[in-house]
Parts: sequence; C-alpha cells; structure tokens
Amino acid sequence: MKKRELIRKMESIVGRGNVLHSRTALLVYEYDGSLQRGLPDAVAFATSAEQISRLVRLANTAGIPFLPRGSGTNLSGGSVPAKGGIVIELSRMNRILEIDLKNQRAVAEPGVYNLTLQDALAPLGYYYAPDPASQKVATLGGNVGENSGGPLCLKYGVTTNHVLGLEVVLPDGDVVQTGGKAQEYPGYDLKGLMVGSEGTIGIVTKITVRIMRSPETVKTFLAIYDSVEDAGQTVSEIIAEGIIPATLEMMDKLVMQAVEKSVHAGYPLDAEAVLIIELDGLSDGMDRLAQRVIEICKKNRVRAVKVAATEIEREKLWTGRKGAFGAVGRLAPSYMVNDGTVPRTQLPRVLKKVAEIGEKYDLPIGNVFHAGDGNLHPLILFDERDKDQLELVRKASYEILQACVDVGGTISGEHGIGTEKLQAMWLLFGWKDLNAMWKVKRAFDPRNLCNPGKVLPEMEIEESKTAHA
Amino acid sequence: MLDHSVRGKFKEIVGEAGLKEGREIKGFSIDGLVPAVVLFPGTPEEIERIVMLALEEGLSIIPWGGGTQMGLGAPPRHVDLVVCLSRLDRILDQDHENMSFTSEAGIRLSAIQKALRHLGQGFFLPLDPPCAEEVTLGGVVAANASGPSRFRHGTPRDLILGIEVVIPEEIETGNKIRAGGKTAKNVSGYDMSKLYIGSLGTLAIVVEVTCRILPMPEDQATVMAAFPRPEAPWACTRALLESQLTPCSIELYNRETASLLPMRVRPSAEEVAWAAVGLEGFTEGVERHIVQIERLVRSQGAEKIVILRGPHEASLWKNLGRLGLQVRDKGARSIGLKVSVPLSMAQEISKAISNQGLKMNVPCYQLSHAGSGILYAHICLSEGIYGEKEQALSQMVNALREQVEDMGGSLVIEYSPAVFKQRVDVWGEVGGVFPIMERLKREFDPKDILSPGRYVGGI
Repeated sequence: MKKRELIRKMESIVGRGNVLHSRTALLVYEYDGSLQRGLPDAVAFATSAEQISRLVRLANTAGIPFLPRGSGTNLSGGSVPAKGGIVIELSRMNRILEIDLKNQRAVAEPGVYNLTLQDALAPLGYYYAPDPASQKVATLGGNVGENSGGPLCLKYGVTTNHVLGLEVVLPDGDVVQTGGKAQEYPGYDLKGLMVGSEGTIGIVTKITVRIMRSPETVKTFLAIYDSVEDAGQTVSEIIAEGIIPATLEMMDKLVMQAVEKSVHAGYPLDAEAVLIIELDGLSDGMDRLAQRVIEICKKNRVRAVKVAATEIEREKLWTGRKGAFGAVGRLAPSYMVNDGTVPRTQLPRVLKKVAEIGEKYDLPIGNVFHAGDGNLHPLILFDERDKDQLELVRKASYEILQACVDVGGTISGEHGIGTEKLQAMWLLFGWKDLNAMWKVKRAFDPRNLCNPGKVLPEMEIEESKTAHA
Repeated sequence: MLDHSVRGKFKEIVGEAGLKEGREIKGFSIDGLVPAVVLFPGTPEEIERIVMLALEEGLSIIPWGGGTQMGLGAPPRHVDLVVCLSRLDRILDQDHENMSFTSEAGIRLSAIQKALRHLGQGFFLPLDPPCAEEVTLGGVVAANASGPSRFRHGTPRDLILGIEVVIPEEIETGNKIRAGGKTAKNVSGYDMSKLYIGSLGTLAIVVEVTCRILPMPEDQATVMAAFPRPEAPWACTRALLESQLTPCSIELYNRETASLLPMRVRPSAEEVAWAAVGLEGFTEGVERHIVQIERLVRSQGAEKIVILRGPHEASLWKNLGRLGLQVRDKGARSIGLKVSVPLSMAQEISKAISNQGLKMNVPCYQLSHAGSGILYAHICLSEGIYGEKEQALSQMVNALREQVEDMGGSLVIEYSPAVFKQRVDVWGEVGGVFPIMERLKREFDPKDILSPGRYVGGI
C-alpha cells in the first residue's frame, strides 16, 4: 500500500484532521521518557475501540506495524515506534466511564490520567492504589501497558494487582473482553498477561480497576541521614522486622539538591540521604508502630526524624519526590534512569556498587527510588550530544543491571524492557525462557505487527533450540 | 495399557519405587478414568525426562498434587500417566528478611506454614484455600485456589513472584523454564506466572514456586455472629466495606453449613444466617475492630456473638475450609459450585441458590467470601437423590449460570459426578477470548498431551 493511500484510509476511519503524517508533526512522536528514538509513518487520534479495531485491520492489510501511545512518559522505549508504522494515539479516549462504589470498581478509557482518576475518587473517600510519580500525565492505559508501580505499591501491590477487567483490541482487530467487575473468570488469565506487555499483544480500550477506601490515618516522616548506607540499612531492617509501611522511599543528596531548586519542598541540602516513610491504616496502634520505625532509624544513626505536621507539609514532600526525575533535568542536559530491582536485603550492597560504577566511569549518579520494594532508580547524568559519554552511560547502566542480577534481582521493576533493555534480557533469562514468552507473543500476534521490536529480543528459534541452554 | 518396554523406560527415569500401577493406584482416578501408571519423580530433571518420553510415545499426562482439586475441570479425554509431585517437597530458599520463600511444587501448604512459623519473628504464606492441610503449593497454583483471607491478602495471582515449569516441548537441553524471580516488583518480560496460575496443568507442569510471605500478625481474632434474618449479614458486609475498618476476611454461611461446624452451642431455631469476620493486626486495632463489629452485628439483630481466639478460632476456619469434603462424605454424588459476581450482587445470588435448594428439596450448604463476591454452594446428594433429580439439577445450574453471567460474573462446577459433567459444561463460555486461549494451548502443548480436555472449551 502506498503511503498516500494509507493516510487516506486512516482519515476515512478517524476523520481528516485526526491523522498526522508530515515529518515535523511526526517528530513529536519519535520519543518517550527514555533515550530511545524511532519515527512513525503516521499518527492517528482514535476515540473508540471500533476506530482502533479498524486502524488495526488496516495496518494488517498494509502489513505495517502499529502501536498504542498514551502520554509517552514511559521510560524504556515502549511507546517509541521501533519499526515505524502507525501510532494509535489514545489521549482523546479520556473519559472516566463509571465510578461504581457499590462494587468498589472504576471503569475508564485508556487516555485518562492516573491523577484524574485519583482526583475523582478522593472526594468520595476512595483511591486507586498504583501511584506512579508521573501520575499527573501518565495515562491508565500506559500504566496497564507497563504494569506501573509507585510509592504505595510497597503495601498495596502494582497495577496488575488492581486491574480486574480489560476491553482489548487484539492484534487482528477483534475487540474482546477479559475479566470484568467480578474477581474470577474461567480460562487462562489473559488480563494478567496483558498487564505489563508494553502494548505488544493488544491495545487496551477500557479498563476496570479496584478502588479502595481511603485509610483512616496517614502519618508521614522524613528521616535524614549522613550516609546512604545507613539509610539503606534502615530500609532493610524495617522490612526484616516485618513492618510494611505504605511507602518507603529514598532520595540522595544529588537528587535532593535538584528537587530543592525546583520545588523548595524543605529537604535538607547538607544530608547524604533521606527516607520518606509513610504509615497508613487505623489510628489504633499507629503511634506504637511509628515508635518502632523511629527506633530502627535511630539504631542506624539517623540525624533527625521529622514528622509532616500538616497536610501541606506532606504534600510538599511528595511533590518533591514525584517531581524528582523532572528536577534532575536542572543538573545535566540528559539522564538515563535505571530500574534494577533487588531482594531488599541486598539494598545496601547494591547501592555501594552503583556508587562505585559511577566513580569508575566518572559519571554523576543520583538516586531516588522505591527503597522498600528494593526497586532502584539510579539516574546517570550526562550530555546526550556527547556520543562518547553516551557510550559510557550505556556501559555503566548495563553494569548496574548486571550487579542487580548478580544478587538475585531483576533488570526492571516497573519501567519495562521496551527497546532499551532488550539485550539485558539475556542477563536474566536463557533461550528457553524467552522462547516461552515468544509463544505468548505468537499466540496473540502471529504476524508480529503489534508494537514489534519490544520486550523480547529477536532470536533464531530453530537453530537456538540446541545451541543455547 | 503401557507397552512393557515403555514401562521399563519410565522405571529407568524414576526408579523401581517411583512407578506404581494396578491396585496401588486406586485413589488416582479422575472422573472415573484410571491412568496406566502413576509416576513419582524425585527431581525436576526427572519430570523433564518423563515429559520428553511422553512426547515421544504420544502419552498423555495429568499432574497431581494433593489431589483435592481433581474434581475440577471437565473429564479428561484420556489419561495415560499421572505425574504425582509429592516427592518434590524441598524448601529451597527462606528469605524472610526479603519476605520471600521458594520451594518445590509438591510441598504441602501445611508444611510451608510450619516452616515459616519458626522463621525470624514468625512468618506465614497468606493463602488459605479449602483443605489447607492436604493441598500442595503446586496444586494451589494450578487451580488458582484461595480462601477467606483473599479479601485482604489476595490470591496466588497476587502472591506468586516467580515460577519454574516444565513444558511439553522437545528441547535437547531440557524443557524446564522459569519466569519472574524473588523481587517484590518485576516487569522483565511477560508476566508468565499469571499464565500458568489457574491453567490446571494444561500448559505446563509447575515444579518450583517463589512466593511472597508476611510476618505473623501481632494479634488475631474472629467475631462470629448468628442472625435471625438471612439479609442481615449482607447488610453488615456492606457496612464493613464502606467503613475504614480493615478486616482480613468476611465469611457468611447458612444454617446448613453452621450445622456441620463442631460448635459447642448448637444453632437455635431462630438463627438462619452466620457471619465470621477474621481480624489480624496490632492488638489495639483488633480490639477496636471487635468493638465496632460487635456494635454493627448487634444493630442488625444478631444476638449470639462470639469472639473466637486460639484453638477455637483455628477450628472454625479449618472446618469452614473442609466444608466441601464434609458434604461429599455425607453424599457421594454431591455437586459443588463456585460463583464469582460483582460484590453488590452476591446477596441476590445467595438468595437464588437458597430458593432453588428449597424448591428442589436438596440440602444446600453455602459459604461466601462476601467481601470478594465469591460464593460456594455445596449441594449434598446421595446416589438415589442424584439419579432422581439429575435433570432438574442440570436445569437449575444452567439457570443459575445464566443469572450469574447476566450480572457480569461466572459460575464454575468445582466437583460433581462425572455424568453430570456431560450434561452441564463445568466452566461455561469464555467468550471472544477463546481463540487466543486455544492458540496459547497449541503454542505450549502442540501435541495435546497435558491434561487434555479438562479445561475451558475442551482445551
């Protein structure tokens, strides 16, 4: 199919003004929140599952790739058109369709921002647990695609634990429903496979999530440390004591300095690290729990523990934490964010290793991360225009991932594989393991047109069967 | 029957004692079908070799754990081999400081709980499926089994971090594969654990599982209340769900079920419905729950309210978990249904089941995870009664299923006489996603040797 004909057909599906195809317009869609790049052939703004189904069928007929896109805040290349094709833009599918308190569910279209849903629920005394830092603009569809986490996931689990049902346009254009408002349905758990599949096995068009009653009490602390290791050790000990706070976040000096410049949240600029510890639940017993947490902090040489006295103080701390990636932009033109995750006991050891890797390559590395989950986010600062430096950054990043895998961890906790970590998948899996994932991909998308070139490294199937163990 | 030389090859893999047949395997039938042999492999590698040989010989395999869920599913098309995982019961990693636990799949859940109790300050695996004494970890995974505490802690799909399985594919270097790991968060590749959980041994044989564990709560207790009106416990459930209280489980049951529980005080004539609310957490929190829940159930007319702790509490939950077994002991041809509906519709379905039971004059033992919209109905049937009412029962189940599906839920027959499964589809329709499920089955098990026919749509 000629490009002109393709555009005309796309326009007949979504309307003339809703297709972009000029080079300048497409440039905006060649990137996401990572360093990955790829130019699409065209972008279509869809407003219904039916339109998406027709676009997908069109792409099938033309034999070209297609992929969904929300706000493009994802951090590993998941929404970057690695092999060109049609970007199906979902930001106009932004309606909350239903808030069903009786059944403790909300139903929304994929283009709804995570925070928009939270804002709709809060006055009703409810919330949706997954709270990625990018929630102001990250869409629910994107959250499903990446199986997003967030600070609250320590206690309440990630996106997959809160998605009950999905309406999906399959890679052949069929529109199907998997799961729903009830908790169990017979058959393979396709919904469980869809969440975190990075848009490679279908496009989600309607999402049913669990909503929960807001907790009675929330208590937020800022624990200030003169050493990163002490902060890391505190995290390990809190978890080892069997205490599961609602959040257990860590930020180091470099990141705090950037955050203070941008939001003035009140972080101490002379400290080496802070922990943001939040406890939630019934008020009964909360003081005693807080006391235990503070004791663990003290045992690990905390300089001071401050309690957020007002809701405004608490908001400020979180604004700083959630704005951290953005704020780091003030320190260097580019950064690469790593997402390695380790068993919690390995945290102090791996933090040390990360610092060593930074020194080895002479690259500044900031840390801001979900410490309680063992989910690191080292931010490697550099200048993308300096190609030599970019190469060093890639090497450093790969070494950090290797360090995580070496202690029984994994290469991504919540940002996904995308195109960025394709080769790092080999650190974790053998040929056979990846082959099984390819079976899933083939069952959904036998023609490999749905967001190709993501998640799974390409392999020579028959030859490798015996070659790699 | 197995060819003599093939039998010899299996013996080479599992050893003389690892192959049983004839009278030794009387208990290993599935819907009346008896395998030629039952194999007891001692390592995952032996399972790999068994699967390779079965592929070569075109023999079908049904994996077996504790055997409590073998009634689940449609009658298999054929059964050549049962592979029993009971010898794969080693604990491989107990990392309580990371809150994770890894073991082979054949270990009993009760053995895991026992090991965890002595770890650090005391831990537990927050899974409490029916027959928690007998079930194995692999069985729980294959059946996606869960119990009352799913209300707070979730199901295997929430608690399993990593998995190793053997797939029926001829790979020279072995066909054991893994997914996930031991970290709390993990998005490295597709979430393959989800696919195997609940797949009832139709895609792979689960050989190793890593799960999340939790510290033992400081305090726990159960508030049990009896009500004179069947609506009352449902009203309590709604109030609890709307409150900021955080109970661990909300179980409702009817008079029939209560009569099977070994309680010191027999149900009085006025009592028709019961609620048991499980609590765990800090002492102060548990105390506060007790006060508020007592007030709540009293406002709904409960007169008998008992706070259970220690052995009495454990006994209640254990017996609720054995309800299905008890009913089957009373009636050999009993039928067990599991219904899942949106929360607000559970009461209506419970009522519909009661009405049908009354109309047909069959005792119906009900138990609901009311906070999760899950209902179990165990219809107790003797040989004679079943024969007499078979047709009416199948109409009843079909009608119930229609009602449940209209509500956006599902109904599954968890066990029944094999002949009943010919009359009523045990799973029900799965809808437009079925072609994908078929393709998944073909990708993973192209020769259709794993549990053929037991799953949805004849998979």
